[in-house]
Formats: sequence, structure tokens, C-alpha cells
Amino acid sequence: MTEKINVRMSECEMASGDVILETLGLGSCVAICIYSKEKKLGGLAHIMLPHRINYEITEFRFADEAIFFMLKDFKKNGCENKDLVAKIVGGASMFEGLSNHIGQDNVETIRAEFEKQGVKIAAEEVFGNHGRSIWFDLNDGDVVVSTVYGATVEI
Amino acid sequence: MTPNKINSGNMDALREVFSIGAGHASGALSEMTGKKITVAFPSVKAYKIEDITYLFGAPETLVATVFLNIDGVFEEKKGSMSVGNFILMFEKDVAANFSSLIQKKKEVELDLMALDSLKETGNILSGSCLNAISEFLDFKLIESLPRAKVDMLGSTLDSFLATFAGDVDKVLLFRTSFLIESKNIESYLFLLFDPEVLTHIVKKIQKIQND
Repeated sequence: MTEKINVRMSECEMASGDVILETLGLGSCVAICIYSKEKKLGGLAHIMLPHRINYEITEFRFADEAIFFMLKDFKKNGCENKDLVAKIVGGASMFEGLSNHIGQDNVETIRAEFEKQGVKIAAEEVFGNHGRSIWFDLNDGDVVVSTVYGATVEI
Repeated sequence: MTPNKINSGNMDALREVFSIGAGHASGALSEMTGKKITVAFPSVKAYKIEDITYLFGAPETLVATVFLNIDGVFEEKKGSMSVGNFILMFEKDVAANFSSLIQKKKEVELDLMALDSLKETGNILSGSCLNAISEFLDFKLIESLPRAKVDMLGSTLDSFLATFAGDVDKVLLFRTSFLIESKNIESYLFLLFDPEVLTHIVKKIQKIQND
């Protein structure tokens, strides 16, 4: 039976095989999914902010760190960056007219980081003003994205 | 000021101030609805940012939220600055029931009109709550126009929480809930203040206590 692993805000999970990684209720937060098709190995991080500025914070909240540690883990498992694909979901601006660029900053930082690391972004479901939940299937790398508004999509 | 630097005496004082605000808000809610309101104990406590969502439910729970941005005017700083958020939240179905109660209608659809009635409620409650706090502390708190949203709990809260997540592990959460028992309508009221602003508030409280 498929194992389902829930990933909470500021958490990051790596798994392989018949596993679905899920994270629920993303707003301005972003789910970063990285996948190796060859190894059926996947990583999912639910990040809040682009960069760490305060080193006293113990939580795993930041996009740059999440990508760094996940790519390190892939490398340990014999995966090169060029063989990986990434998918990113979230980065919404939940309240209209609120000068809050967190979602956008998150997505732009993640794009830049993957570009720097030579990891291809295969698909995105980002921005907008609604929440999202995702299920990342490590059998094939597909990511199902659902929202309260509109249809569920697979990317 | 990080929450763990606030001593227990100051925590008591903050709770006292918040109780005054919560009391006024529940009075306003009672007046609006013509119903008796049961108020939960106003709590002031530091929580890890990641744990706050779960105090209210699972991240995928559907909620209707009204929020207002709070600006403050402090002697130490020129002009007004953003100091935090006032948030009023209902589970989605409860919000529809609440809206039909104050619109005196039978319908329970959470449409634009219903959202407007929630915004209005947020406006009135935040006004009475923040006015009472402003008066007690003798500084100005100004609230923005209310904004409303129906979406998942986690999605709704994460951008508020992210505002603080770069600077601190934990934030002080001021929270209470109001229950209209006869209708089984519960709403959650909570305030999040910028950690730096809490320093000013605590100083002010100490000054009032010493006078």
C-alpha cells in the first residue's frame, strides 16, 4: 500500500518508492518538490521565507537552506543536479491589496536558486490569491494540486 | 523583544490589557446580535510559529477570516508604524450561520454580502477592542479597512506568520473566543503584535503601574 507522509510548515522530507508526500494549506508558503525519476527518490520542503537572516532560529523555514540540504541528500544518493526535476507550488498573496510580497519573493528566490544549481523546473502552480494543497507521488513524480476554488490539477 | 524576555509580571499585565479589549469586543458582539455571549479566558502566550495554526484546527480546515492591519503611533518613533494584526475567524459553516443571524436572514450561503457582514463585524469588534486598549495604554492604535477571505486555515494564516518568521522562533499570541450559545456559533479573536512593538507596550504598562 502507498505510504503517505505529511509534511508540515517548516518541514522537509526525503523518501523513495511507493510514497506520497503531502503538504496541506499553502498560502504564501511554497512547496518545493525535487524528483529523481531514475531513483524514484523525492524531496518535499514546505518553506515560509526566501532566506535566513537570523541564525538563532532553529526551524527549517527558508527556501535557500531547504534546496541546499535536499540537493546534498540527492547527491549522497548518487543523483546529479542535471538529472533532477523540480516543481514548485504556492506563493500566493492571500489578501488582496495587502502590500505583502512574501509569496512572490519566495518563488523568485527558488527559481534563481534552481537556476544557479542547474536543476530544471518542470512545472509551477504559483501566485494568485488562494490556498493550495499538494500530493507528490514518488512513483512517477506527478504532483496533484487542489484548491478551494477551481479544479484540481496535475503537474 | 522576544517573548522569552518578557517576565511573568509583564505577561500578567499584557493579559490584563488584552482582557479589557476582549471584554469590550464581546460587549459589541452581544449588542450586534442581541444574544448572550460566553467569552473564553483571554490568553496571552508565546507559541512557536509553526504551532499556531494547529491551535485552531488542521491546516486544511475551511475558515472564514476577517483581518485588519493595526498601525500604532509611538512617542519614540516618528509617524505611525505597522504593529500587528487583528484577526477574527470562524469555521466556514459557522460563519454562514453567524452571517444569517446578523443579516436576520435564513440563507446560509457564504456570498459577497455575507462576507461584507463579516467585515463589518470585524470592524466593530476591532474598533471596540483596540479603542479600549489604546485608551488604557494611552497611545494610538489605528486599524486598516477589514479584509475577508474564505480559504484553508493554513493558507490563511501563513502569510501573517511569515511576517515574523524571519526574526523570531516564537510569537506572543493574544487569543480568546466568543460563543453565542443559543446558536452554537463560535468565533476566534486573536492579535499578533510585532515583537519590537511589544517592547513599547510593556514599557508603557510598566510606566502606568509605577505612576
